[in-house]
Amino acid sequence: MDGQLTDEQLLNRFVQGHRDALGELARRFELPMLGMARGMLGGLPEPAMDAVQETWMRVIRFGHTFNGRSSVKTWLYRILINQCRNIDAKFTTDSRQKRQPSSAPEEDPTAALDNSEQCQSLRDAVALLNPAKRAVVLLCYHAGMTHEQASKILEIPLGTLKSRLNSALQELRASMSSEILA
Amino acid sequence: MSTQSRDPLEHQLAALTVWNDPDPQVWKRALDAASKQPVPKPPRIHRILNWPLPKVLAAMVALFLLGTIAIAILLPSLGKARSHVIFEHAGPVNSSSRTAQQALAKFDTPSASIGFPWQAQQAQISDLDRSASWRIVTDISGDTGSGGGGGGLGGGGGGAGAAFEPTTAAPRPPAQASTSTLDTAPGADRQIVRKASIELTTNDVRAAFLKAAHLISEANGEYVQDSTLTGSDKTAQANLTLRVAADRLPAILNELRSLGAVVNENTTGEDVTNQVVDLEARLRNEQRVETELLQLLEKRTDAPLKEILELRDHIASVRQQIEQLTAQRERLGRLVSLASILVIIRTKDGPTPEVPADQSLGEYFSASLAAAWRNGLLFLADTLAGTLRILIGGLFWWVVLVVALLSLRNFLQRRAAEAAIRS
Repeated sequence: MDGQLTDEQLLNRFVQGHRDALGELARRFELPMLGMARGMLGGLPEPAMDAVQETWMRVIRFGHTFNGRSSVKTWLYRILINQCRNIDAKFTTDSRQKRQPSSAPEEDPTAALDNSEQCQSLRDAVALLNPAKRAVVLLCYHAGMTHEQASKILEIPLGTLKSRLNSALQELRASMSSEILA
Repeated sequence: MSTQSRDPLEHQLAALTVWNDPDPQVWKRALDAASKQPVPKPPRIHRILNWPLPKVLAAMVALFLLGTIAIAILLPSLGKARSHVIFEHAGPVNSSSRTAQQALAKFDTPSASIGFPWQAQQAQISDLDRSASWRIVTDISGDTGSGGGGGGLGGGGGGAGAAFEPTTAAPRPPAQASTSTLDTAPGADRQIVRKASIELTTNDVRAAFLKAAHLISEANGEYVQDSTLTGSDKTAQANLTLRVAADRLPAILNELRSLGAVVNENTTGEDVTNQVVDLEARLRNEQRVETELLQLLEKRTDAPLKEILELRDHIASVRQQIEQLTAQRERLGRLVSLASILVIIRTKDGPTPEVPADQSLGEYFSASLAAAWRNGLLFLADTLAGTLRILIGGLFWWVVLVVALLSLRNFLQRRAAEAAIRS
């Protein structure tokens, strides 16, 4: 039954007290949100889960304030991006590196891919971008996200988003090239 | 952005935001955590704010209509209340006094035929205003009025004119409105038509009725214009219209006061001096014309027959006019010389005068129903007119209000949504 409902209807049902509606929303959005949070937070799964959990907490607390001016997906990602920024502001790059557990590869089946040297270089390069460009570049290449959706999530004009994306890609290419040359 | 056109960097960027781990079902943890904290119940205002626009507009229209109808219902009531207050301020008049005044207004005197339009309309338009403008202040208990003929009415002619005091700024009757030399000479002999009404309650209506009828002095030309005695015991009621000499009005009123308890008393005076002066002037003029025509007729004895006949017709017409004017002056003189007193006598515990004694209960009931129906329709018309006036008159402000409310709703919605994202 829930599968036929739109995201807005599911959220409305949850606000009305149907807890299972939140599960259906999570089935649709939780994994992409976790991926996005992980990208925003230097590839660390724990802070990403914290960010997503806090996002769901806010959905639970403030679901009634959703006004339908944007889609539920846009609203969720707006909350998520802000939570990622909040968490990111708490940890510096050094502390993040300290928190990176040595046992992570054993726990994470995809650690081989994530911890590949090239991937880590790219993460480092992304981490060096300013927060605005970092969010743009990650959102624009996030699964199924269009530029229009990204501009709505970040509440910036489409033109601004595209210019920031180009600028960020140039910086990343330059950063990656200099690393290879070095 | 299609995946085919992506370069390796873009592929790697896409891979950075992929979650390949098992689903940790964070939402369940969030629910558990939230269940430990009390989730604030959403305020009612937020639920209203999130109503869809058509629902909001429908609610606004409904609220507006309700408010408008409420105001429209209140406004006519307030208007009526206001007019009632003004009515009460014009003088201490109760329902029975109003009855007496309406009866007074219906005095069938010859004056109606010689033209007092404001007098004829008195009952329908403002039965109080005119009388208020010339009311003699009379104590219902008769304390001040009992001694020496109530003071105000003592003496006729010029003396009486000074006793009447204008109590309100009501429009003056036509007799006073026109300017004449008499208006500028307060001491001149004024021609006043006096009317009085007195409502009494007594235990023996029949006896009081007979005594009242015998107060007149036929030798002075006084007479009972009409009299009715209806009902018996507690339902007995007597109505008399006495025509008494103007200078005897205070004395007669004093006599009447002694017949029972005075419930209401009202005295009015109407200055017809200007009309008398006008009539006399017209009469003199017509008489002068008649004299001239007669002189002309005497001089032109050799005139053709046709001219003489025309002249005689002319004289006949002038004489007819003179007769009419003379009759009018005489009638006016009778009105001035004879005051009218409407006497209503009821038993102390009798029914209210609003129910005429000669009306059956069924007739009274049907009349009341008809009056209620008519009043209801008038009230409905007032309400609808008031609603329309508020709707159209305030259209500009309604639009401003709707725009302001929608803007406020927009602002509050944004602020509420920001709380979830930013806090």
